[in-house]
Amino acid sequence: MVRSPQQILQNDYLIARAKIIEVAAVLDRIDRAAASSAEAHAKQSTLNTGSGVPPRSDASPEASASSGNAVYSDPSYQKIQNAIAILSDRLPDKTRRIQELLSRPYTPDWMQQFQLPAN
Amino acid sequence: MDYIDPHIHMVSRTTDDYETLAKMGCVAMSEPAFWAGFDRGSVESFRDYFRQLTDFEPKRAAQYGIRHYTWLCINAKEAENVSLSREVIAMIPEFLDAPNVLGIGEIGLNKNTRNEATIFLEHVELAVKYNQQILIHTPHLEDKYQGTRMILDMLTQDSRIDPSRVLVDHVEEHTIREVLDRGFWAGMTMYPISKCTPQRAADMIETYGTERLMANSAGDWGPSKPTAIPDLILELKQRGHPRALIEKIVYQNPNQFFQQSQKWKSIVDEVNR
Repeated sequence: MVRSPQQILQNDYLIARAKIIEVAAVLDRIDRAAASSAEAHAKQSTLNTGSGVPPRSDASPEASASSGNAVYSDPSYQKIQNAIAILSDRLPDKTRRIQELLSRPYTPDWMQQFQLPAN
Repeated sequence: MDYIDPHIHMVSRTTDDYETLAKMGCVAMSEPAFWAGFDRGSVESFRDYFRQLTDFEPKRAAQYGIRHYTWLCINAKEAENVSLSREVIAMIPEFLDAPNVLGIGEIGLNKNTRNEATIFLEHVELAVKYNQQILIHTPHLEDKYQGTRMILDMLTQDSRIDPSRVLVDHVEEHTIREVLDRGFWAGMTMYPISKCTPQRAADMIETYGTERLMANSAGDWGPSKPTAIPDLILELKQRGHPRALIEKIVYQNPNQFFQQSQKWKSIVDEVNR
């Protein structure tokens, strides 16, 4: 390698810093929207029931979805969380492993499934 | 530093871009046929497009001393229209003798469907029949890994295909090794949003070496940067890589791959005089 690990860290620290903060900001944005949605849902439910007691936001899948919490079980959200876990481990090849995590799986028998002729 | 952009869509760029590229050292480029941003309605649309690629663009490039080459096909996005695709494939031979046509491309997959695979195989048949080189488009984002493997399966199962005459473009960290291990040429596309950055391209060069590897901008009508190769040159210089390594990636490798076509050899020799 042309550069030392310390030189790479020095050169690329601000780039990595900026991108990690971008990811954090995306997650914060999702959290704020989910909280706001849950609050609105609770108010609406209280008005509808007239009981004065807000229902649990996770009482049913429908209620959960309308409250905004459904985003946390969305496959895309889960993929981001799993990618962050790869960033935090001490294993090599992080870029390739994250690329594979974010990819559709390959099945070797795809040609038979498509009924394509094999040469 | 002189360089070659092996994959750029100049029909979507302005004449000012030709001037800028020339000033930055671009001496030659190859332009694969691709999607126009909308699905074309008839084979005549493609005939006009191929006239643009084989007649108009070489003249526009020549005004700035840039040699323009091209590849012909119907792209994977439009391959879902199988009947239109077959009409276009039947018409392509009309243009194969044009002086700037290097082969069939960019053929590949988009959403990895059966129709796309069917039309891909029919393009391969055309290339074999007319002894043409092939330029491959691999899918984007989550479809890339699966689609690249499917494309490599189709090519390697065909004993008539010589991998050294096939360039597989848009490789990334999870597809580059398979492409190189199977003997194909690999192209890294540097694109601001999808695909990879000049920094990641430099990482792949450091990881996989310089054999059968090149870089391109794929500049087109989207948020792309036609000067991405000069960005890579700067990145490699800043990392302390020698001039010989940089020249191999941005000039000698594309020159070596394209020289397999007699059309390319004669024109590049003229550039070098």
